[in-house]
Amino acid sequence: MKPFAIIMLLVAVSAYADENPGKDCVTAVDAADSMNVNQKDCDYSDEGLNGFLQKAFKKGDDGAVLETNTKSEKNNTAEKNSTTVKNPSVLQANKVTATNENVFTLSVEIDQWANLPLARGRLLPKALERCGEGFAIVGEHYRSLKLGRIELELSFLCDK
Amino acid sequence: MKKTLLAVALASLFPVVAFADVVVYGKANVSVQNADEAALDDSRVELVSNASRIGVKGGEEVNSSLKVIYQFEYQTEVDDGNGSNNQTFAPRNIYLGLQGVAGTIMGGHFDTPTKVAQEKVDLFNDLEGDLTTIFKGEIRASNVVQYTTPTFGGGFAGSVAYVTEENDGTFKQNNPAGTEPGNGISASFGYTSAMFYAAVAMDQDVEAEGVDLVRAVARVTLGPVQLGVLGEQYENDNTGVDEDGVLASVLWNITDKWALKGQYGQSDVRVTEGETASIGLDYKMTKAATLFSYATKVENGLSPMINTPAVINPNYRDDTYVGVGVDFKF
Repeated sequence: MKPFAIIMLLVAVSAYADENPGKDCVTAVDAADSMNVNQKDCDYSDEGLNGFLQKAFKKGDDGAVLETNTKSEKNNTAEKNSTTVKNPSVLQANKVTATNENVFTLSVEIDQWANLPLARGRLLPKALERCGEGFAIVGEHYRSLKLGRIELELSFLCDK
Repeated sequence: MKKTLLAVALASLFPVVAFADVVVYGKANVSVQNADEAALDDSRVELVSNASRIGVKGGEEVNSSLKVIYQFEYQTEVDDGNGSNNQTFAPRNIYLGLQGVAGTIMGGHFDTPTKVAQEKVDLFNDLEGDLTTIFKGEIRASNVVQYTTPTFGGGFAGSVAYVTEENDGTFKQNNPAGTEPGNGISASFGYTSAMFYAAVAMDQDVEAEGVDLVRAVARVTLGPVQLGVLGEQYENDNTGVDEDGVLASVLWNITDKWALKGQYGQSDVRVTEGETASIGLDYKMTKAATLFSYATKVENGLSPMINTPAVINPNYRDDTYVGVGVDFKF
């Protein structure tokens, strides 16, 4: 009975520890080595060889353009209170910033205006997923970034 | 300029448009060690590449509830460039799969659930103190179809792998003479969290027909200390062998830079009276680069000499390894 109680205690404590965000992303090679297909998607677009390649080929069909600036030189608005989730296909980054439970913003970087409808279309189901029942778009903001990229930021208000 | 050239060179290897969903990764792990091996009756200094690798992995959403996933990973030898069979790049875990709300199904050439179940308990993985020196069940099988459940209950998940009888390079070639290859099953079920991990796993007819294996693993992380234990039972109906073994490990993160680790295992599974003991000290230079050192002792109960006139038994082990190396994840 005693070992069982200890195991249950450890499970309870570890479940609590799992709620600590940001601790789940190990390096890409360790993630691959674990063969755990259930692990959370992590953003490696700014790390290691993958980060180098992501930067190197941001311009897509225009050819290889190497961006050598560091993370600290990037647009600081993208980093403030933001959590990077995963990289959908045409998106460079997809960030969630929540001010309270019902109001939050989703932002995304695109490399050209032609990709805007697709990028915008992908934010909407994510907002619905977050809100559950429904939402209203209460703000829409565009920002020019380096290398001709554009940041779209949508603000949402969840239905109560 | 050199970086730009590298970028252009890599662009020719990978389609530019694919980068959005592709993660390119790898690691170089190289050490220089003094190996004092009984079978050689000598000691020597050697440079060894410890499972250095490069790979790509990624996925593409088919719709909101279904995703195609893949991974292609290859091992390369940093020390001399040549792996087994003189391959510059030897396949490691390679798969293509579909992932949905009901779980993941994938096929390819990859670690069985039993091998994966060791998780982080083996602290000297890929080094001379790797648990594979005294245990079995560390199989990367070919022609595998595997189903993995989604995580449920806060960390529970299970996997079942069907190792087909196709024998073009699989472990089924280990079948006893005169027996036909058959299908094998490898399965695991476990609970994972940052602090606690426990799993049970089994192989049935995976190594060969009539060979079964059961493995139990647990890990607890309490502050800076990680404790791990692994037990294994192995049965071979072809030879009547029924053996078991156990391994324990401890990792102490002294600071965020320094880590001290030790591991001891005793097992009759791979060879009679197999024993391995290792200690190591790691220094994390950066997030990606670690300087590591280790001392490992591997022994077994075989006779040192065989035949008449007596010659050194090549399988006898009373070996000591002392090494220092660098692990760089890129």
